[in-house]
Amino acid sequence: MHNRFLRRFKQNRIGMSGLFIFLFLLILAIFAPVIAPYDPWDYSFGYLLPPSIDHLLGTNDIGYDLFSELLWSLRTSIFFGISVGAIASIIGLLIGVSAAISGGLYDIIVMRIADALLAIPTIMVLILIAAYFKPSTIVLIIALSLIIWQTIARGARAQTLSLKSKLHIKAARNMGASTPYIIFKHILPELFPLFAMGFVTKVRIAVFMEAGLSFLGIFDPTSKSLGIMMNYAMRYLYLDVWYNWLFPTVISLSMLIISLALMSYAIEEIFDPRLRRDNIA
Amino acid sequence: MNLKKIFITSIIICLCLFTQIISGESTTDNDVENELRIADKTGDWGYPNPYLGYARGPGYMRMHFIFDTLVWKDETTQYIPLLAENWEYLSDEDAYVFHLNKDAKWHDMEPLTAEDVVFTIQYMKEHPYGWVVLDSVDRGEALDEHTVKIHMSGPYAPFMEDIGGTMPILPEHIWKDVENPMDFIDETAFIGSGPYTYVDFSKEHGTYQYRSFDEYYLGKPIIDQLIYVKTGDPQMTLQRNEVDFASIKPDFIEQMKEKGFIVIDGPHYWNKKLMINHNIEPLDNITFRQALAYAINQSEFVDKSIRGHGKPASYGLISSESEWISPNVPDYPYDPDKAMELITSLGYELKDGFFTKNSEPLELQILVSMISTGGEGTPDRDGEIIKNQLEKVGIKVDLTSLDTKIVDTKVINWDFELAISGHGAIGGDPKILYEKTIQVSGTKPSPNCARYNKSVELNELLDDLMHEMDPQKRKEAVFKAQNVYARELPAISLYYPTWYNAYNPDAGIEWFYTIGGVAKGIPIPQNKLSLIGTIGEGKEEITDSTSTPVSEGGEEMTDSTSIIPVENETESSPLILCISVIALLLAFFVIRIKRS
Repeated sequence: MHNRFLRRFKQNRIGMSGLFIFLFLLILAIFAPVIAPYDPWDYSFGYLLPPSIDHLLGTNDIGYDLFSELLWSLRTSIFFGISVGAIASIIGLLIGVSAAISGGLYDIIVMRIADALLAIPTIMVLILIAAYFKPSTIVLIIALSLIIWQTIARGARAQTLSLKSKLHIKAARNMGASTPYIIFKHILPELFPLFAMGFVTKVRIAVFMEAGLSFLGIFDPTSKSLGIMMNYAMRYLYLDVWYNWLFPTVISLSMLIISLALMSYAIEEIFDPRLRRDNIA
Repeated sequence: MNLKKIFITSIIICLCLFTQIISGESTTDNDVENELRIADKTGDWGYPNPYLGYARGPGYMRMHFIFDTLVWKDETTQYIPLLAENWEYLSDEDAYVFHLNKDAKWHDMEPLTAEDVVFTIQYMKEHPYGWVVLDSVDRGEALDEHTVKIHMSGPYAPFMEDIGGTMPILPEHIWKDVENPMDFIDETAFIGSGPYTYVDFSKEHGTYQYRSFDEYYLGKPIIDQLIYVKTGDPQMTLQRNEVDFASIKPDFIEQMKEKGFIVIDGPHYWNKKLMINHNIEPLDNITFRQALAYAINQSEFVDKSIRGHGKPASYGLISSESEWISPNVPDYPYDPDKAMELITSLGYELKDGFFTKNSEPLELQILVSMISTGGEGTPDRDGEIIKNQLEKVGIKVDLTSLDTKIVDTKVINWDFELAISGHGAIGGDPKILYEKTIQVSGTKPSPNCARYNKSVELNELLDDLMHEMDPQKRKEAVFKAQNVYARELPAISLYYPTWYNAYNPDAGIEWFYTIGGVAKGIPIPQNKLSLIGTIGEGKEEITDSTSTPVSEGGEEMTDSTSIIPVENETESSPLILCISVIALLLAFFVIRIKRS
């Protein structure tokens, strides 16, 4: 199952290009402390310097080295995205599977909560949370994860329900397999595609959300974030600094989001027979 | 059939277009020769009448063209005659006598009399008006038709600025029957005695229109029609010659000058300051607050946060450009070592670069606001800079960014440690020192008032500042109060930003910044005197000003003025003509193809 997935993914050019872009950005982010030429919180340089050998992208209004700031911002975005993606996917999977397995009142309550969450605009909730609580990164990661798990839970529940009635599971149960055994041995592996897709999609949503929220000024103002960089860059657009300030920031964010979108598209294509190109052909 | 319908419709459309052109041109012809436009980013500041205008600087400015006060201020002189030709203070009776201009008329041509002033005082006592607090005034008395005596209920030193120069006089014959001034929006609500009459205000478009009052007692204003327009980018509008006066960004000063605009920069009457919760440890300790002052490098704020367009603040709150500035305000030159020494003297120990006491780390939370519910973001770098500076001396900083209103609420509820705030009016009457230091009982707490009532010495000096009628003695009290304030530091002033405005000199108007700010200290260079030419020389020499709630960023300084003949329509009319002809031809063409 997994080998087949990997093989198919490798053959999928869209997915692979997404993966490469993502890995490239991930490496930049992981090694930001090594690659960045300066401390991104050091504002002792001159302000609004144009790009030069000393400062690849120049400096900003207060005197931060933009290249270093960009690398660190990327780090924040990717960290935020992966954390939210992982937490939300795990929550979704646990809730979905448990609801399908246990059924009854628990199923009804949990799935109604999921439905209710679907109707709530995420950004508004986060802005409210940010306004009333201290919006540390961890708080926002948890808050966002708690809001966006429902689609994964619904998918997981539906798939588990259909798996439950499959012959091999019935057989396993008849042979005396315990519920945990069935979940871990038979159901979860089958849910891997859903998990992978959900994970990538949630990472994408989270990256976008982080940029949006920090653009609005909700994040810790001293943290490095693509959104904050864009916010400040927009204020100095009139000075023709867009090419070394706004443009690299926007491109980085776009690349990150596009790479995630490409990957989730590829995964979806691999697992959804209706989208498979060889089938169509 | 179809062809006919389309033909007729096209002709009707064309006719409509033509009529528009014709009417457009005719309005251009009828336009007053002399029009001045001021651009503003926000637009809506409420109806231009005392009670309906928003209680912010620009709201007052919109109203001040229509309603006159007793006295006024110009570029250099404190109090010059407006409705009052001259005045005197009777110290034995504790009363002011104003002799009104006999030519003053209301816009409905009724004469303005002393009774109107008496009525205004009474009316504003019954219906409090945000800009004027009349607690210090006992009553008004009309001595004759043009002489009014205002009896005080006690000595009140800032009277001339606070009331004489800020209280708009209302027409008794109109307002006497108005029960609720907030609901009074009919045409007569805008009848005043100022140089301009009200023509129109559009809340949706944020536009104001005024016409000159030809019978104005100081002469007909230079500009016939005055218009405020809302624009997203005032500077751009100015550059395109669509307006003649706009706030500009500091980076464009040279460019604007090269283009022939005149750039004026405001005096430094607005300060960014660090609010301190002096009720909690360790901020309740004066030595600790002094250590903070030594740890803060004001010049770095000026260099980094506002890129040199401003200056470091005086620690005594009063602007260093005010004539009330004490010559010997205690200063705290940047000295991190001294700061650390002072903190150590309070029993703190330095461990791994940060101070601790009883194994508790010394950590302070600083509230900043980078977002505001109004949507206008006012991000700046102050938070980052202060965090950096304090961490250098071993104080851990937890920088928290919240919505402006939430920061204000937290400060008012004492639910904070340090917060960055700011206010204006520090260049005018020194009563600002009283207002921003002491919480006056019965008034709403202000988020930028230190509410520091615990220093007996300072309280006494501030009391003298408010009630000492002898100018020399008052000045002494003001100096001493500043010195004590700077020593005890209930809040720490950081810096004064510089705001720039530019105008087109071809409009024939010379704009200026009013000394101490317009009325109670509004730092907007749109004094109506610019539009009516110079009037008599001032009488006394006192500095005053009050805070202008220009608030963060000063986004309201976005006005501009200019005389622009409306040319756009004539330019666009040939285009409309061409388009209509093409549309007509197209319609025929389509029909023909369909038929064939």
